[in-house]
Amino acid sequence: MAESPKLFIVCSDRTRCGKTLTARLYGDFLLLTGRNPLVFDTAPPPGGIIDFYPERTVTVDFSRTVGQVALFDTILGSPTRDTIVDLATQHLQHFFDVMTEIDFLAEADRVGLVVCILYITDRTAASLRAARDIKERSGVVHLFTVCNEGAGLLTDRDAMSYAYSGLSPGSELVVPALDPDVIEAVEQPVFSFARVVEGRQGRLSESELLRLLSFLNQVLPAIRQQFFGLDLSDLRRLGFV
Amino acid sequence: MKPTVILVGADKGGVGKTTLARTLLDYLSRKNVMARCYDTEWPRGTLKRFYPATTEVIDMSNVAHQMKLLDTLETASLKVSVVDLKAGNLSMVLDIFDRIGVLEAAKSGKFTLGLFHVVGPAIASLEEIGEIAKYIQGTDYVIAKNFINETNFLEWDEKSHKKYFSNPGAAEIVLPKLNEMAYEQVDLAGVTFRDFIDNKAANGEPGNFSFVLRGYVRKWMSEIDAQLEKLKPVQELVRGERGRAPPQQQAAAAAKA
Repeated sequence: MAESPKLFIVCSDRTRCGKTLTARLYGDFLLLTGRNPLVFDTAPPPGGIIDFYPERTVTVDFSRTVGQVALFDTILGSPTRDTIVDLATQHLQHFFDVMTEIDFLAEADRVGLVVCILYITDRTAASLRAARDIKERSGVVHLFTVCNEGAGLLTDRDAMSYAYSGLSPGSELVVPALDPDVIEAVEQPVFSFARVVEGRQGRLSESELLRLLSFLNQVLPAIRQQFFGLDLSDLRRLGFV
Repeated sequence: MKPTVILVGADKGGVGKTTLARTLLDYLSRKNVMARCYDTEWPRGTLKRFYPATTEVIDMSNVAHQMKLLDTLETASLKVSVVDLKAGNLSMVLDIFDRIGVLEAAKSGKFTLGLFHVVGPAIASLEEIGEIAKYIQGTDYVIAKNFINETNFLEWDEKSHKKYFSNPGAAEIVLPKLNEMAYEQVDLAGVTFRDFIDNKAANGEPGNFSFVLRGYVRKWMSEIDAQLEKLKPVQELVRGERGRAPPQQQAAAAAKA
């Protein structure tokens, strides 16, 4: 049985926290597993995700109805394709308001699309509360928090365990911090993590390559684990498990 | 069932008369209340674009056309008539109805007359409420506030607000704002709001309308439905209770029989 296509909404209540990096990691994971993801860039240029996937990215201005139509209608128009939405922070609330207003989840369910929010948290519990609020308000079942160690860890993680209640437990993706020189390399336009894994990414020193591979060895298996979890949950929903 | 005439009008233009008439017709049709539609935007009507099969375009200043509406109330198979009055026609039509005894007939219960008076935020529009007050006795009068923009209908000024909205005989509903692009798409498609939501083209074939825009229209219609459900006369019409005698009279009549 084919895996259900997935829609990943990568978002946060904070700016500069690693949304685009997270979206790229999922995008490259999809490419590595032979899929053909469609990407939406909702951030104004320059420096958005379009720089990394110029041929598969659609840029939309979500503040305008025409942008909302371009995004949601395109997703529903190609329901067999995986999609990643790199959601700019300024559209966070409006995006989920529109999603609720047009009853997108019911239609996504009808066409067999699994919707998942990837919420990048920061050092404070406020960000976890915002994630929980988005999950409750939107009705999206799958919300995974993403902890980007490069943007900072929760100040007192154990004391904040209460803030995780209501979120998908044990499914947080931890993105290790990258060294500054490696960050510089991976932020070059059209850089691809998938090509690194496939041994096709040039212009990296041996040391950079080793550190990057170590990083990807931590992140990609964790993403694969999340995919298994999503597929399993989808099978349960369909009554196969 | 007693005949019912529902006028939808305003003297000011661009306040959403035809939009309200369309939502009302949609609502009634979903509740299985079929209605005749009259569009008074003679000779070309906007309402007729959306309800071509059931709409007749008439000129309310023309006696023969008045007869088409009023002299057929008893004999028509459909007992509900919705009349979309063109801009500037409201006072004129009420005046004619007054002069030829239509208002009196409604007052005496020969048929039911409802009036949806659509008002926009402009003072010129609000002034109409006072101007037509003399005609509304004996009618089911509803003031429909159309939130065309971010207006608050003078709620910030109690005195002015009271001046326009203190008629105890008037019910009030608010018409929420519909996303402009969604409105334009429905207009362009020339279909009813319900068919747009159901993705059905004017020729009855499956449409190709945007899911997002259909979602906006669906939400907006549900908000208007909630407003119409607040109106007792509309609910009585939907339940088929219009024109029936009150329960005590019915019981007395049954006992007599």
